[in-house]
Amino acid sequence: MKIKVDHHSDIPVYKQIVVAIKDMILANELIEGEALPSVRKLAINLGVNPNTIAKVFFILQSEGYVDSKPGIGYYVAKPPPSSIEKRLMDLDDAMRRIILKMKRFALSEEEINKRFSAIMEGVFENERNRS
Amino acid sequence: MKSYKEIKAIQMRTVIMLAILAGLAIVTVMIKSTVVSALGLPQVQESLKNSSLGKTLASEISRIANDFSYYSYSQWFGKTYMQIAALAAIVLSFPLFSKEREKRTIYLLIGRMGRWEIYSTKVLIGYVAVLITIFGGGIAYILTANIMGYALPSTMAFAWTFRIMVGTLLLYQIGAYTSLLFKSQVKPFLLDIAIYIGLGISGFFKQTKFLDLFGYMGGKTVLKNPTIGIFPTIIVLLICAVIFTLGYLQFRSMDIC
Amino acid sequence: MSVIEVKDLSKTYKNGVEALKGISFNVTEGSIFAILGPNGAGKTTTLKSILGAIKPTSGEVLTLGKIPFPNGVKKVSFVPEEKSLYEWVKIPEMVKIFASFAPNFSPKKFEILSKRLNLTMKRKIGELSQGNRTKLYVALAFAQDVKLYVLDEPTWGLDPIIRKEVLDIVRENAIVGKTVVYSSHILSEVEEVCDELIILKEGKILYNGTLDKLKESNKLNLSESFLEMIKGGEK
Repeated sequence: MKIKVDHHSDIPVYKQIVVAIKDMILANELIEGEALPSVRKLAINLGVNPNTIAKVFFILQSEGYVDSKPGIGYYVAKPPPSSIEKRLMDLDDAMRRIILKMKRFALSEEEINKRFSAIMEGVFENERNRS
Repeated sequence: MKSYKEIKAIQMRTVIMLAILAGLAIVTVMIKSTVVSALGLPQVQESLKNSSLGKTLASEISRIANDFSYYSYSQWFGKTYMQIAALAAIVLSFPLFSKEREKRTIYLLIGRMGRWEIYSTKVLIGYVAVLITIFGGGIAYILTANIMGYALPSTMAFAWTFRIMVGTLLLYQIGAYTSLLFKSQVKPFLLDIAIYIGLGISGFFKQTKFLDLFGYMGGKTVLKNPTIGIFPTIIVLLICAVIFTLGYLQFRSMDIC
Repeated sequence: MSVIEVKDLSKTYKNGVEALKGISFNVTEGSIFAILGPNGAGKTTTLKSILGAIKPTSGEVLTLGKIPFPNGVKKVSFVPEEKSLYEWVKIPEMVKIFASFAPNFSPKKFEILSKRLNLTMKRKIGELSQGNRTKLYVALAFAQDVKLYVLDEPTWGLDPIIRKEVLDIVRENAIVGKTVVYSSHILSEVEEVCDELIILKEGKILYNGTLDKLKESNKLNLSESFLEMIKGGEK
């Protein structure tokens, strides 16, 4: 499992990992039923404390992203149907923050729209070229 | 073995002190004839006759020349042996605690050993080192005298050796105690010397005569009555035990910082 | 379960210095617990109280459920601020000496650790650089299989690669359930390993809690929070 952790961020490490694993599950990079590495292994892999991973799994389980069975450990569960929508709303928030920042530079709605379209085109263009 | 470190730390100093003591013992026996013949020179005799102290000195010299027991007392047991023994007591004791605190190596021991373990291994290993050193010096003298064919009553020689061993234990125990008191090595060293000088001086006054440890160690009385002096020996050992205990109580309640 | 319980601990030294003025905190088993603060805040005094090297003036310290002063608690391994070892011996002899009195010392574990830390074995202690002394001390301390490691500046003089290795060793020990208490003035390093922390200033606790909580409530990383608190205390 590849997750980039920034110890020196103001966002706690456990939160960074929770978000990263949630995204992998929502994006189907982790498939329902797939076993997750043990607390110990993941802690070593990511260079974080076992307590942190334990907390991550606890949160993921309480939110329905993973489940555990004695003897098997943690595995990917089917997340609640509303979870993608929830995550998209988070991302909307992020987008909103960016738009607000742009607005500070006295850009019109049209100009901001233009910049967005340009970036969108660029991203999808790239994707098409790759495939 | 918890005492391994203490043995390693003290073994070099023990060997050096033992070598010095044994070397001086052999030399002291060997030069007897030279000393005596030098004192017997006509020039020396002449100048002695002319001084006021001359008569007592002259009789002293003839005693040294003719009586090997007396020579042994005045040149070795009552003199060099005792002085080097006192030096050995200082050398073996002053760094015990002070060095570990000065160099901060005490934190290797604190927490890994209890206070009693630290204290007792340090002090008791030193006791053994003292006994080996002093006994070695005494034996070296006795053996050399024997080989050279001098007549030295063995009860007398062993009585002195024994007394000096016991006395040096006390000097060492005092040194071990002063080593506890300071974080630097120089201070206990100097304090030890001051205490020893004090003990030496106290022998000259009636009121403080009971403190005359050196009088007990290299005592002239042994010449007439070659015994170990059971009563003073017990007193000296008791004082050792008292200081040992006080030292432990002090170490036990001490902040190591 | 608490491995260390400190209750209202105060320490005034013989020379009148008030190092600690009534601090309380608990350290949970298996955690990596950092003690932070500017110079003279009382970090080392706190560590030495846990070790049992100094006697509390008032209050209480329990280390692994026992009062550590004066005899210490056998299942603790300590790395002090000054990495002083016996100058007169070579490293293998130093290891032998250490093994003679350190409880649960494993020569095999020492060998593995010294390789990981890239320690050159043939030298005399007196000739070692500051960094090599730290490596040796850390390797000795972690070669002891104990429940609690108490470390004062365990990366002093180390280069970044070895420093990371030491942090990994600390973390691995936490993974197998050992508790590590440590003090360092390198905050970025502490931020990488600690679960919980206290921030001390002038013998008092400014913060006591998890690193996550600190970040969440301040919306700042550790260095920023630290500076904020230390300065805040000055107002």
